[in-house]
Amino acid sequence: MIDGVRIQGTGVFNPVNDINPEDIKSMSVLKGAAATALYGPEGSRGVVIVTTTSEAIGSEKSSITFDSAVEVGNSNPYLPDFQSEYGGGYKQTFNVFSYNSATDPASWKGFDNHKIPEYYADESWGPKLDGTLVREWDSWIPGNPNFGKLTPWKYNGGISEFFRNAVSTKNNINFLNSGEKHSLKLNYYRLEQELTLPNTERETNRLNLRLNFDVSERLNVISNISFSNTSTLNDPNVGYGSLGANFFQWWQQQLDVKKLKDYKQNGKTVSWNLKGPRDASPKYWDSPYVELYENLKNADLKSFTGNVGLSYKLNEFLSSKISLSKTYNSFKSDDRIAFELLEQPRYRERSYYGDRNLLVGQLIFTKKFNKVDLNAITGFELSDDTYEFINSSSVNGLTIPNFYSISTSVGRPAYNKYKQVNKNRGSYLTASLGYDNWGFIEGSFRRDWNSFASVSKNYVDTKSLSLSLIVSSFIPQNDILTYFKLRGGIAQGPNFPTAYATQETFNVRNSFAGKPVLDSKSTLANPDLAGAVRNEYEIGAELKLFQNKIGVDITYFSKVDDKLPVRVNVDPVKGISSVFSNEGKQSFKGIELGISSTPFRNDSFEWNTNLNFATLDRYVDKVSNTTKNSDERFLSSRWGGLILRNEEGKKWGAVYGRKVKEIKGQKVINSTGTGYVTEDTQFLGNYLPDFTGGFSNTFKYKNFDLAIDMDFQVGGKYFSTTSMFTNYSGLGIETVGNNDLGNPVRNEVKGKHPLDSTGKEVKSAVYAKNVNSASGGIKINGVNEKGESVSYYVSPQTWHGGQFGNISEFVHDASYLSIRNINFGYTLDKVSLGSIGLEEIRLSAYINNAFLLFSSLPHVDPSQLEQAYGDSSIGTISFREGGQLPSVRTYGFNVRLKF
Amino acid sequence: MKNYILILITLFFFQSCDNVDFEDTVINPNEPSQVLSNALLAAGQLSAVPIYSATRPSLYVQYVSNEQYNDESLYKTQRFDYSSYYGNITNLNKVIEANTNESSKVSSQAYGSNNNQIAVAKLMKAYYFHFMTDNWGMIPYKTANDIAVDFNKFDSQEEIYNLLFQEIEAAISLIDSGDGPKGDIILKGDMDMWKKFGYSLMMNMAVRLSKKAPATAKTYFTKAMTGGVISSNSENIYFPFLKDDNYDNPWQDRFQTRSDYLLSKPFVNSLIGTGSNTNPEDPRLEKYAEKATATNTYNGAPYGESNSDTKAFSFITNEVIKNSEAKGYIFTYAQMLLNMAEAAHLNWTTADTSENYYKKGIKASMEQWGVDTTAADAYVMSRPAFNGLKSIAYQKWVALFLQGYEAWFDWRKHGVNQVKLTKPVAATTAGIPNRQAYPLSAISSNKKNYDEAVSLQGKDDLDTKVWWHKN
Repeated sequence: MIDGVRIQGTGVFNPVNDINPEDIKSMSVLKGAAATALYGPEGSRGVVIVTTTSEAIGSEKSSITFDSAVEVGNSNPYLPDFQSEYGGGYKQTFNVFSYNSATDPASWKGFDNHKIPEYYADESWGPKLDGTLVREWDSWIPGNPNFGKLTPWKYNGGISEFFRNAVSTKNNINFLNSGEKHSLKLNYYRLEQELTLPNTERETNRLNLRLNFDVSERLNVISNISFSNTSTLNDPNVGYGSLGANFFQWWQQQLDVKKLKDYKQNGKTVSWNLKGPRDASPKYWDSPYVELYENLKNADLKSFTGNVGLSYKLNEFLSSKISLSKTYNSFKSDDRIAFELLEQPRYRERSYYGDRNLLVGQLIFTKKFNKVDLNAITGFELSDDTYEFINSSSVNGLTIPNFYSISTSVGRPAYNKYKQVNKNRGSYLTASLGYDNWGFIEGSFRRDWNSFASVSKNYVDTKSLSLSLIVSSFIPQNDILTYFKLRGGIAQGPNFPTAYATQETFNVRNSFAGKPVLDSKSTLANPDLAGAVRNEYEIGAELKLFQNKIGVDITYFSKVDDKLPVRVNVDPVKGISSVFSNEGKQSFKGIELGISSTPFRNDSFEWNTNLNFATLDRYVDKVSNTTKNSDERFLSSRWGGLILRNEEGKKWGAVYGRKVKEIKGQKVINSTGTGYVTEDTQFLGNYLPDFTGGFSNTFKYKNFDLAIDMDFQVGGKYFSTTSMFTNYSGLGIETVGNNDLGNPVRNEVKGKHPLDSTGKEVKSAVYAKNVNSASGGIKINGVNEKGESVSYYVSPQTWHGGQFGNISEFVHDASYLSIRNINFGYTLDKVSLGSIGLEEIRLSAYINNAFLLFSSLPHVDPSQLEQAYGDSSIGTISFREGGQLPSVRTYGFNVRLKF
Repeated sequence: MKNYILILITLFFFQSCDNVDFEDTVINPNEPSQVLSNALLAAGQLSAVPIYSATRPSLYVQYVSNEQYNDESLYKTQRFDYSSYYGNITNLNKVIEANTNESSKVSSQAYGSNNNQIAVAKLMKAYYFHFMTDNWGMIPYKTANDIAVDFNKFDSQEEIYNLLFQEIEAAISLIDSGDGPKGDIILKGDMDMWKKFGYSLMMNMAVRLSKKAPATAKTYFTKAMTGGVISSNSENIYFPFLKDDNYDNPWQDRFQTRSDYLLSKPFVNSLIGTGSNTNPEDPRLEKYAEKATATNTYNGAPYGESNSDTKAFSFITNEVIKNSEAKGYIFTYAQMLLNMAEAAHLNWTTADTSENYYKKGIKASMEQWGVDTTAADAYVMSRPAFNGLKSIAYQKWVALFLQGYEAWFDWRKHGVNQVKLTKPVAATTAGIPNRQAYPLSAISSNKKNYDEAVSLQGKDDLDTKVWWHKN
């Protein structure tokens, strides 16, 4: 709820992102009974209520507040550690160019015997960067100043050169005016943002108008309308195959990034990844700049939200309210693969709109009899939600050079449209009684009907009851316990099935030469799939101690999802991969604790501190009548199979995958010393953290203030693809250095080699007990299959290469501690400003994503993992990193002027 | 005051009722709900595309080598998923249901006679299951696609073969003189050809059992011979790929922007034989391959290596990798003749001699690939003396080029020594794969039956032999 307008959003369609943090007056969270009684199915996961600055009716005020900020973002603090000792290639020797008089130009005669690196390799197991004169990739590009020249094989600063300092500006202006019968607000917000990748930018404009006025003694009208527009150039995509994957997983360490910027030379697209000296066209990778300067991506999001509400006082006890609101989001994007690149040119367009209309009516009764306060509401709620997307794409290339459209597709364009309409009807009655300001009881009954539920029963009834008691009312006033409130409640939240899960339909495939093709769906429809109820139990206490110096708020909650409509995976030999079922049960338990305190305060200095702490345990009590477990897959079995498993009787969030076998805690090494022995589908830990929290401190000294916000998590797991490939491909710092013999690990391994099953020597490993003192190789200790200790020196290329798909080695602990934000400000109020016409001047400097103090992978902030898509029911979840771009640290400076 | 409370309560109940009729809102506007037996059959046939265009078995039998990225040629992936095949059996089961259920039988006749639709769906199912059991060994068959069963048991390959033979016979016996299925995109509703499809499948299966179960094999070989298999190249059964990028030949897609597969050295050298790298002994090489651009000769890439000097090696013919509409062969005349050569060698038939069938098989293969008859005759004449199974196995390996799975299954049955191929040193398997391992879903959702299958069949890896392969 933003200023009374109900907003539903996820990802890019989340208007909450558009709120200027400077403009927020208050934010609160409604959970349990409070959320579900009034907000129904939408409120079953809680409601965030945001109120922005405004003036109340009745006070004569006028003000203008102007905020302007400049920010600089930088990715370098979050780049992984790379080695800078070896260059690109699969082997440590150079190839040699041999001149062929029959086919090569005569002018190339002098090139004979030139050393050439392995341009085609996208790994860095190549020769040592020792300054040897070689033919760099650009020395084969006709017309390049480097053509035909030999240059030293050396480190050129790596990929950090690619990222830039990203400058952004934010401006916000608020006009506020209020009087005896009205309050008005006009807000305009503008953001111009650069990302740390070159040629990326985002622009947001948002306008918001709020009116609140009394038409008569009885009638009040409010309206809140906003429009916002965000356009983005080159929103970088995440995941395997993105730029992040290129740099962190498949790269040559000696490359000079600056040279790659000139990706069109001699009329052709060029890249470091040459096919060879005689064919200087790119092999698998274009220059990374191509992705940002040629393969342009445009995105445009427009959203409109608005509501009109009337409230009418019927008499002293009875009033009525009616409000109509609408939110409309439209998102359009296009992307392309440009002409003359490795891949066929392609153009794609995506468009989306979401339209939501909501009508809410209430009749409110309020009366006070002696010590009793009675408040009762009956209301209805009608919501219609529509969303639609259309994705279209050219197929097999484009016909008009350098022109991008769907209609110039070579093949029949691909077209995919989806539309969904959901209607919900709610009706409720709530009543609350308060006695003498110390005892409160509240109850509600609600029925919701939803069009996604089975037509045989499309409603769900929910009830709630809560009690609270201000215990401190019975305690004599004292200096220790100022306030003490106990509360407890039982609430139910309605839950309805996902779209169109109750009827069997078929997947439409492209017609085959004009003939229809329909595929059975992999999820079995369930005509009886009904809505269900989430039960919530909560007890809590709120304390204020030592004259409000310390405040404590503690809550214990328990929720049970019984028979919720969900998708459950089944063995695919049944001819389907999942079923919709009402049979599962999950339960949640947790504690939420908030402590706020003011350790010190006097006239000129004040220190406030705030600690939040939360735990959440989630259990799978039952999956379905026929299945004991249901797997959500994130990586295919080729990659070792990363699975999130729901298993009856176990904690939710179990991570499974290929695991290195262990005997008595020792890792088992195969008989040739070249890798671990592994077992498929083993338990690797739990996704859910043990606890999460935040700790913030604010200090005020005279006109100065300083705020430091920290957040943390202990426990939980995530998988990092980057950590798997960065060493696989010889980029990581762990692939270099000396072994305990004092030799570079990348040197040849020497000594007695193990034999393979056919009796051949395995050249990439030696037994540690028979190692030559001059041997390279990383030392690997472990046990053999019999459990006896073994030790080998192994070529890092073989060793790290063999780790591919060993999921257990790349599932990391998600614990972290971060100083998220630091904000330092200086404020001059009206008194100190005197009569220059300004109410307030505030200057502040801040750092966002300031310092990651602890994390198992120093460059990965587990709270900023990209969302990964599983294969079905749970949607997106952030526990797999596929090659995401680094986080950004931002330095900013803000000026506020209030008139 | 009481009145107000009453008003509120009354209002609430006034708003409440049982089900609300949401009318058309409940209908999914994105997908049809009609059961169209023609459209489901088409989907049922389309999903077989991976079977006859996969790269992996063509690597196993070393028709092709990897270019730079050689993981695939080193058998790095062990587990392979069968879910799409089972999913597709669901389509075919729905075709059968639509033509069986009283409620839909009549309306389904718009898409061909009920019996013919059922027959084609059953034959396609048999084709899938045969492929699946040859690939994985034991698989759930009797309870396949049964949702009511909690855990689906893996059936022995022997039992699956026996049931499939019966299923094929039953399907063929259903074929009537009514219209063929309208959704049939492979044989376009030609029921005579579906008979041949059935008997060709039966013959292939029978010959596969020549070592393990010769009696059964002979029985079904004889039935297939009598029933009639493909009898000329014009009757070859293939998947008709379209120009349409959605349904074009997958080999063409693989080479649109990349070049990950090269002809393999063992294969190219075998075909060069007594000839030269510009004038190979086997004229089919000129039809199968392009000359290496650097040298203008036929040159295969070493198997299992990372081969980055692409220009030095031969590619698969442009007729396949540059042609969206290249045929995806399912059963060929040459294949059947070579089956017959093997049967004659085992005295299952005396219609002709083994050597004659063998020679006809070679010529049919040459004709299929467009080799002229003089060159074909010259090749057949110049071959060393016919040496029974060894000669047949070799010619089958050559003739089944790019029919990867079929070639691999056949090669496995004949054993390593008939067509000598060796696994690359860097591969961690004991040899060239003998099967593919089960998908992880078997372990995670059907552990007890999976464990039982593994205990009966052997370790779940690439080396374990399937029933017909075991001694």
